[in-house]
Amino acid sequence: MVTPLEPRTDSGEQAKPPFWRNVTVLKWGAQIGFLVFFVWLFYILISEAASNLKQTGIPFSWDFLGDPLGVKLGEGFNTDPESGLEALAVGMVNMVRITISGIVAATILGTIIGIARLSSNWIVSKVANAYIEFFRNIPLLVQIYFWQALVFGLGELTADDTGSGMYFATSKGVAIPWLNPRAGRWQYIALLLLGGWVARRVYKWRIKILEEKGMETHAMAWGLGTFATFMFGGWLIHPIMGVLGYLWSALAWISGNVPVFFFQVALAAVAAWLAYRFIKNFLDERRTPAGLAKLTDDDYFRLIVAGLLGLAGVAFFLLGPGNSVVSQMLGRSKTFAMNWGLEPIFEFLATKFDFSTGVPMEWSRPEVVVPTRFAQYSAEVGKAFTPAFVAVWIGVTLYTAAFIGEIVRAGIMAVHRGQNEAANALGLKRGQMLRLVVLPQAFRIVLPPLGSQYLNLAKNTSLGIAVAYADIVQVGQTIYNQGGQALAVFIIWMGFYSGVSLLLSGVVNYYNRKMQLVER
Amino acid sequence: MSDNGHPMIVVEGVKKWFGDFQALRGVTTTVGQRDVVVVIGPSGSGKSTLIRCINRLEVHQEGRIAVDGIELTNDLRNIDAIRREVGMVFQSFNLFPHLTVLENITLAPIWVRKQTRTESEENGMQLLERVGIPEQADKYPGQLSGGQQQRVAIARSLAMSPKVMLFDEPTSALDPEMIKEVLDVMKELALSGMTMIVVTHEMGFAREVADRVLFMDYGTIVEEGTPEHFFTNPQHDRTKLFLSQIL
Amino acid sequence: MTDQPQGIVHGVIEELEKAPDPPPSGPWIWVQENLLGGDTRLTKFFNGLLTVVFALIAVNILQFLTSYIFNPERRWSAVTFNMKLMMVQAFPQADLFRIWLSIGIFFVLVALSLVAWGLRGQMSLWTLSRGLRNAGVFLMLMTVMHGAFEASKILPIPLFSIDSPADWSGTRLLIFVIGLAMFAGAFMYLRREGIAAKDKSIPFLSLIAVGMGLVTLVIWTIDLPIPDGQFDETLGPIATSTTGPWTILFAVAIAAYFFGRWLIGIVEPARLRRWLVILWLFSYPVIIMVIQRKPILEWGDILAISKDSPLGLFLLFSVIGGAVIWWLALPDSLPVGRGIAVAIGALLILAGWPLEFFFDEMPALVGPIATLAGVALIAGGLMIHDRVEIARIIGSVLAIVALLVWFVPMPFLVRGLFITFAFVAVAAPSFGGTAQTRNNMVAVWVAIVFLVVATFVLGEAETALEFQSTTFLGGFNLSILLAISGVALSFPLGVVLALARTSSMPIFRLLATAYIEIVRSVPLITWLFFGSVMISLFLPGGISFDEIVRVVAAVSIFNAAYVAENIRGGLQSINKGQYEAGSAMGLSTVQSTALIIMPQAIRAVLPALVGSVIVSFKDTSLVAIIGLADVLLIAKSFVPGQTNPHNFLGTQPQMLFFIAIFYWMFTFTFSRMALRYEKSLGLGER
Ligand SMILES: Nc1ncnc2c1ncn2[C@@H]1O[C@H](COP(=O)(O)OP(=O)(O)OP(=O)(O)O)[C@@H](O)[C@H]1O
Ligand SMILES: [Mg+2]
Repeated sequence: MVTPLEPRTDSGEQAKPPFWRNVTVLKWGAQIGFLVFFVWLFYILISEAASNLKQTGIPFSWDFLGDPLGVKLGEGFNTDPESGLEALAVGMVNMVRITISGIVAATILGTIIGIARLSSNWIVSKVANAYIEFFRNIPLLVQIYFWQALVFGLGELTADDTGSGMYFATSKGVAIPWLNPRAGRWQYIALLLLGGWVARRVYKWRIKILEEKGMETHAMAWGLGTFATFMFGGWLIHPIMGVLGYLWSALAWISGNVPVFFFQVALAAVAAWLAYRFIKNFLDERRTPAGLAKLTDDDYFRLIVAGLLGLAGVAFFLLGPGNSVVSQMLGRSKTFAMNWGLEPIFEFLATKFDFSTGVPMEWSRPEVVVPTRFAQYSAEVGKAFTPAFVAVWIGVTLYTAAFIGEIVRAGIMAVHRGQNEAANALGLKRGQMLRLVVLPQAFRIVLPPLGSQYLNLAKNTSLGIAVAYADIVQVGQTIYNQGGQALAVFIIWMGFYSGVSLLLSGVVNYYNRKMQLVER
Repeated sequence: MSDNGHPMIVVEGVKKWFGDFQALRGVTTTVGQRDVVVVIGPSGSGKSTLIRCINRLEVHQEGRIAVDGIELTNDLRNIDAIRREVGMVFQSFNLFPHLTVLENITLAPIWVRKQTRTESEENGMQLLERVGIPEQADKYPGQLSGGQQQRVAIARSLAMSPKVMLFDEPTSALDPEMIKEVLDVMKELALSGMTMIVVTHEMGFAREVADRVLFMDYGTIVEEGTPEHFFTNPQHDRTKLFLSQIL
Repeated sequence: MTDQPQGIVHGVIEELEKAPDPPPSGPWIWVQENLLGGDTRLTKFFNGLLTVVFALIAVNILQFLTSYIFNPERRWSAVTFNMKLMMVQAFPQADLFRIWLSIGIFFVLVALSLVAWGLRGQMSLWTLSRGLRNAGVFLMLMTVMHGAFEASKILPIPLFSIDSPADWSGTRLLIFVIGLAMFAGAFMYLRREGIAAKDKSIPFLSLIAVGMGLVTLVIWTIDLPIPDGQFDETLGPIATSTTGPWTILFAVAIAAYFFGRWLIGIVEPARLRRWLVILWLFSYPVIIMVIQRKPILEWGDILAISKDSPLGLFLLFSVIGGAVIWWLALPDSLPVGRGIAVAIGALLILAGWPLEFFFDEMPALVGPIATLAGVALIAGGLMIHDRVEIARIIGSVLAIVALLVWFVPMPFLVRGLFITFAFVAVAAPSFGGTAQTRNNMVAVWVAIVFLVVATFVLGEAETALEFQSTTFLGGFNLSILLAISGVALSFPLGVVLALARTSSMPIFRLLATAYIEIVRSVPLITWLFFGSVMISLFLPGGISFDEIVRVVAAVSIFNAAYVAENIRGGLQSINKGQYEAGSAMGLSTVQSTALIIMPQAIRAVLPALVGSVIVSFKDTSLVAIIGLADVLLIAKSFVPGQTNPHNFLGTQPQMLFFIAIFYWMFTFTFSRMALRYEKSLGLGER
């Protein structure tokens, strides 16, 4: 009955209209025309900028990356950087630091507020509501300024403040007790990573038993227990991880002695292989018994981009390290660029891993080392935060928490209806219901808007510049105020923030996809 | 059959693929002027695809389609011309919810036929009278019943004074009592000499109004003929089976 | 067809059973249910604990607020004394009527629009009186908080707040009495009416009128702190230069409303709306460029008849451009069309090279491009046999040429006019038609040319105002300008980007996606730096804009990406059938997009757009970082820096406190209004 499928053809026999009336030609003509126009416009703008810059006597250059900055930074892992590049790195780390801690704190606070908002207790829900309405309707910048003014109003450190205390809150900053890393931390962290991996395996194993035998196996408890064992046991036995030191030394030796060319080829091969894998998978997915399905423009696009990325990777790895431009950009000697900094990294690790028995971390209280002088920000005792950090951190945390509270509330509300009753009807206990029914679903609803709040928070940390927090924007501004390379700095900003956004939304999308898979 | 020497719609060996799925496998038929052709067939047999190819909502990949002597190609001019001559009524009405009934009807005459507003509004009111709902002119589509909406959709197509009207299951989204309102309008239209291709499952309509019935399956025309022939003496097994299922 | 049931069966309602009695209620039961609720003892205890903890938090916050606000160390005269500074910065005293006039225009337009669009919301008395009751309780509690402070000296109430406020017993009593009155009135009313109050409502507008009356009363009677010497302050009445205008403005607003009511009786509402839209559009440039800026216009130069005087350019462009557009919109004039196409082509070829004689420093490309365009036109004119096609092609070619002209060094105004022409020329063939539409189009074109010319003339003109700051705009005035301009200018760009991103054409899609994603991933503050430091770099030599203009441009670049994402959501929510119906009726893609798709898409995402307006209002505060004197910068830096004639050093925290409340009032009101609107659309529901 069914006539056999014919292979697909695009007929040539239809009368061809003249090109200026041919829809296909017009469509592509318009696009290519616009692309040409766009490129041309770009070219004009750039050349205009170049000539304008030449007229002002400050031609575009990246030299500032290597030149010393000459100014001290407010805070960071190196407040007196040797080069512009290093200063920017300090700024990036500061930005990441405040972003991550802010995201963690805002998520916790926001979740509490979201749940409190739904509480049946009248006063709890009213207070939560007031919090949300108050914080999200005031510009963040005003809030940051306000917190800064508050810290500045805290009062000086007096001569009476001596020795170590529980906390110091002064106009110079805030210091609190802190778990500070000590000598044994490297071994301990390695052990914890190992513990995490083992715990995961244990968890999966228990789940498997659960699925096969159909009995309660307490997989979660097993997993957590395993990790806890590593955590507590590791405190005592962490020196055994010192064996890794041999591994690092060996790797350092290899990367120092194997020709760079080998690495280049290996990495290039990996890039090419990844691109090949992607394209192959992509085509396989669209292959049907009757032949390859028609690819949409989008598909072609992805294929081309994947191919180009692969090629770019190959080209970069093969040409990059030897390329003097890259090594100059890095502001380092050629040899550094040549072995990709692998050798120093491994050597560094090798020096850190030994069999020493020092504690990994130590709980310590802030201390006034010099009377009336606030504990230095990088002190080994306690943890001291600059007023700028405090202002920005509190600002972005409280502000974002208000939005997260709304999101959490909406998420829980969305699940509540119906699902609650269905779960009750199934006879689930309240705890089980929350854990198995409400929370997973709420999480799925909440995740996408939560991700965009995280992005907002990351971008909002840039307001730190208003209180001179040394993040990448402030460092960048310092640089261009000195050397006038505003354009170059702007390009760095753009690259950095795009990277952060891509990374964050990548993580969120990954989890999102995972949740969606769970659904099926 | 034809007034000026050529048939209204010529479809010759039309093939159409969606990706690698072939929806039309060489459809050939001719519709003369003033003909009313009813297309029936099981779901997924390519009925909608066929009539959507006729006004270029879908692009066929092989074969020829000509409307009133104008060949459907990639040619912008031909596409515009054919769309101006072919009206279409959809299963889901597709009225524009942000415009009143009258504005729905006058939109295309004003912007495509370049009529003046007063001219097109007069014409629009006449059409609304023809489909029997002049009192609804200033309402929004959301305020009308399904049958009324579909009649507005018919009036909207007629406002472009098309030479051909295509109907894609115009009544299948309607409640039984509304189906009649719409079918009555369509009958009246057929009597007035409009060339029509109607995809429908309303066998009564096919019997009464159609000049010809096409039965499609698996992307081809399995059988075609006059209603009497078709309903009383079908030749093909497929047709018999289909008719036995729906009658 | 009208076969609705004719008769109504009586008696059904009586037969319905009465609903069971509502569950018992009362304050104690309320407390049990809402503060101490729970199934078990443990949960009850836990809930009670929570209540205590959160009540303490609330008490502390209230106590903090009162003791902060009514503390003798606060110098609220820093706020009241600098109100003008914060609102309009250094706007000359003698010209203040310009500001009042602007507000007046705004009020009148709002009042008329309320009538024309028939926006007459109702508020149920139930909601209103409950709101009043709660507000009364809040006010009373605030005054009692002082007592809490006193009590905490004896009772173990943990209070972490700063010192006891000063003696503010007079004010306190007043506030208490007001609170009591509100509470008592509302309470009695609710008592009497019960649930029935839900069915009664009063129009919003009369509420607003009452509110305006109250405000008038208050500003005439109330005394505010006024600096008295370096560190003291007394209470004094608000200056009549403030109270007078406000009173008049309120009266004008109410009068305008009734005028509108009268007007709508004699003018068709649709017509009134059309005029109001035009007035709204015009009011914005007129207020900023004329009323508030007081430009010095050299009428002699402007009205001179020459090829580059404003009048000359206006005439040139409106006549020639109008003619071309009229022709482009013509439905059937094939032979003429061909002739004109050929003629324009020839002109371009001939004039392309000689153009260089008129303008020094012509980029090398312009000549050849003009020639090419000319050749294309002639070829098109001779080969193509359909009028609309010719018009389309000519329109596009003209558009490209007009865009290219941007890079020819010549007066900025001319470039602007060419660009505008480009857009109208492309649109003309699609939206042309009858004589009426054609004439309308030409009229619109002339109006646009006038607007562009006027904007440039006004922009170039020196201002006659004498102010000490760098711009005539400052303070809250500047914040508002930034918010409105940012949104208004980003809108068209956002629409284009959204269309491109949802287009079926991959290159457009790629470019739009890249723009949106890159722009959104970079924080606004860096775009502001871009605007204030870098935009001038990319402009052809010699052209520079005021910093405010550059910042507005940067804000628009940024906002456009967000607007585009919102609109994209709307576009994606539209049924595919709408596109199909459009093309089945013979509408072109441009036409269906403009007439069918866009209106629906925008309507669908209006709440989201309002949300982004609120965000961009809050974001205007960022310009303080790049040193523009908006209300935040003035409050945070300028006022606390004053030492003469009054010393306001050290008032920064309280100025920030004030500014926070100030912003909060605006955003909160606005977002509540948006919420109401959203609910009325039924979009808030899932
Ligand atoms: N846009 C599309 N993409 C992929 N496949 C499509 C598309 N449109 C239609 N098809 C497929 O083409 C076949 C014919 O579809 P068509 O809509 O023409 O059927 P039909 O005869 O109108 O059916 P029905 O009576 O259900 O409307 C179906 O199998 C359908 O799945
Ligand atoms: Mg169908």
